[in-house]
Amino acid sequence: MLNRNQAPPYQTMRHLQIPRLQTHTLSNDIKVHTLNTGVQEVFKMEVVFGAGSCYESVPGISYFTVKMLAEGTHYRSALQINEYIDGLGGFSEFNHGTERISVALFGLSRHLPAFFELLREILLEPSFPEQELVQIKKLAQQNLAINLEKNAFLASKKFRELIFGENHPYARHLSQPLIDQTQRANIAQHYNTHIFQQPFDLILVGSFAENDLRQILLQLEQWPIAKNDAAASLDLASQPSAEKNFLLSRPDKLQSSLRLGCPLFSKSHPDYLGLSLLNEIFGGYYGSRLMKNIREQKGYTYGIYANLAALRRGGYWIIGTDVKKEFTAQTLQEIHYEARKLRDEKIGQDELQTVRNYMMGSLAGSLNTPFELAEIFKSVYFHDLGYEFYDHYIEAIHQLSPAQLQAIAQEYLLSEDFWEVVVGEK
Amino acid sequence: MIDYEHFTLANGLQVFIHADPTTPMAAMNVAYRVGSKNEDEEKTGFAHLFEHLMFRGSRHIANYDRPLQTVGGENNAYTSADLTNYHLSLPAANLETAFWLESDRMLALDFQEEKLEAEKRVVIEEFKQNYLNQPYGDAWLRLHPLAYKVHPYRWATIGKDPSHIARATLADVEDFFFRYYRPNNASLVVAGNLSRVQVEDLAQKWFGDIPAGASEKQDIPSEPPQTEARIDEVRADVPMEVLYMAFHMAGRAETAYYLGDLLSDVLGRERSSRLYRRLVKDTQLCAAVKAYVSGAADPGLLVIQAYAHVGQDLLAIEQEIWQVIEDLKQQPVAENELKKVQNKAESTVLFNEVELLNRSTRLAYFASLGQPRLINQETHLIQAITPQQLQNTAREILREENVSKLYYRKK
Repeated sequence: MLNRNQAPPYQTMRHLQIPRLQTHTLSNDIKVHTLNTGVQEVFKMEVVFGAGSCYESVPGISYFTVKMLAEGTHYRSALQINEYIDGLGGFSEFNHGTERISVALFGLSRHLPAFFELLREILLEPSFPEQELVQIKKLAQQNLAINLEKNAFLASKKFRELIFGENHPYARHLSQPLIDQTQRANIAQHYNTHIFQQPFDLILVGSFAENDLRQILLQLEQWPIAKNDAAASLDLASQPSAEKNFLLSRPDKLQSSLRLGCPLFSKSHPDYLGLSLLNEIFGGYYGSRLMKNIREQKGYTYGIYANLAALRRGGYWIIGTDVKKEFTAQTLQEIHYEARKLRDEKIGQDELQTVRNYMMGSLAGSLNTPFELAEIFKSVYFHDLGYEFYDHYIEAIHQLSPAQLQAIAQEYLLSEDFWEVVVGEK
Repeated sequence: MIDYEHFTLANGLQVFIHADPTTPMAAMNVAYRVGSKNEDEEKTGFAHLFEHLMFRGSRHIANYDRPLQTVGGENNAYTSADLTNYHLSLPAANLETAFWLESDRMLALDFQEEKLEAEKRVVIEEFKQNYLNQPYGDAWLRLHPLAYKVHPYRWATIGKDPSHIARATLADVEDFFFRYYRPNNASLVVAGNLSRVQVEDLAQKWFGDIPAGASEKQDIPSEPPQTEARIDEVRADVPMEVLYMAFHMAGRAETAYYLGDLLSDVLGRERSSRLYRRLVKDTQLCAAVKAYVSGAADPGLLVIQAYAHVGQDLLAIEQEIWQVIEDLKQQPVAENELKKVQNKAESTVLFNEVELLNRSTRLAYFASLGQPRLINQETHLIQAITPQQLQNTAREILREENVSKLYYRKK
């Protein structure tokens, strides 16, 4: 007779093999990171430049620069670029962040050379047509107007302003006047200073012909590079707001968006790994204390999370949720209650073991496609770390004791001192 | 291409196996053939509420998530109008835990008033967060009842109104469970680093003794052909006005579905599509436009959604859209334009099959549709479409009498 009360035996994962990307450094300082793997005949090719909002001389300009890269070259209009990508069954992504901007192309393996040709044109010979900029600005205005209607958007934006200071690059966001003031000349300048002839990283993963890669490397070797070191003069000193509580009253909305947290540090800080584990227990996964209490037991919210946001030169801790308006104050109380409990009481072995196994399984589950392996690589490389970060991570997951976690909570999880944003009603 | 094998247990549970020895992981999907279309019109939103309750403990296992997390697994679920699908992934070495967990909640749930009440509150917050507290969040709450008058697609999966969810009782929950959550109404897909023999043994061991349910066939009324245009208007505090146009088209398992799908791609999938060029680039009436299909199992919808630039009139936009449609009816699309959307559709399938859990979930979807073989035929069906067929489809679907229009305007 089958005993359904008894869980089947299981194995605990203590080690993981992470397939690594290979780095080729070319004579002109361009770095190419590749991993040729995968069952499906598809690839992702991404170029990354240190040209994000930290490096802007005009606020907001890095966003427009990356968006405008695909809006025209000396040989092709925006429409022709789109037709080219669509005709080959490909996809493109243009991303923009505080540190970096990136252009990613996805396609069928047999079309890799054709995509590289387009990439070359976009990066070396963009034309930034004025009429496309008009449209992009209009679109940015309208997207912003929609976002400004969303409590969650307003809350996250305000939160970063509080912990970094309003004009800090990590808190920077587009505003209506900034969009209006954007000029083609500023875009060209941002491009000329931070993209054109600057060393960059190219990441190629998926399945591809080795000969196609060789051709790409040969071509890249010929690209002119003349490095200007913008990073050296960067000032990222933050000025957190003295006033820690912020309420934006929106009585017409059904829910309140809450954000709580504090500035922290980058991934290379010695306490980062311990905090990762503590954060997971607190609010990092579905079985976390916050989810159990505030969603499962109380039903105040559809979801609540806690997240360690690691930036290259800094970071922050953020707890966020959208709750039924009437329960805003109770939710805040419960968050403080759960934080206090982690400071006052040691975590039980059972719960700790569950989180450990969950984190290991979650990591193992994020290593299964070439695209995921590229993300793992980026998660260390762009934080000035190597793959050994994950060795330490796995070790920390297994080694940290309840007493050590409690000490970390006592040092950092001081939720009563956190900055707090409420958009809605309190 | 997804290789799979299939067998059926004596209680009617359909089992599909997709082996992939290149990964250390495994994935499991359990798809129940029940969705919001099976609901009582006075108790809508129930199938989705029920999905939440499936995580509140089963007869022998007090908590579903914890044991899965303990063996390094992750899970989630979704409910649509047609099915409710539960999916998880975990290290393949711990596959049996997935069988233990999924079979116990198919056997029986731990029905309790208190759990139901807490989950009702969560779902009502989800309703508010995603449908009532978002700009345009209620558009589909309006479009469903506009486009469908008879078929239960006339309400959204989240439900007509939060009050329906608040009314759900424990008796409803038990009734729903024993009616729909039976092995003969489900498909089990197991994928990853595993063998057929192993899956056969585990399926028999854990699911074999779950009794089948009565296989009563529920009659879902079909939607009669629409005979005149339908119009609805919302005035809300939104930054830009939006026009929605929904046309009836074929259901997911019909070959004609792919014609509607490809037609929507020609119209408005990408930035090189016809509507994008006309509305965003040439006339600059719109900030964005897209066309897509609902992909429902029973006859579904082809939807055009146009976001007006501030100050532009929705009626002028609509007129342009009708002209683009007229062109498609008059002239067959050029071969290279067709090739473009076909290539895109093919690569979309390929990219969707990169991840193990996606493959497993896709297989569960087609199995639940009753058409598992379609999963590997899709690309061929799409490649075989001709310009003439697309032209005929445009003439058939994109008619004034077949449209439901929602004008989402500023207050």
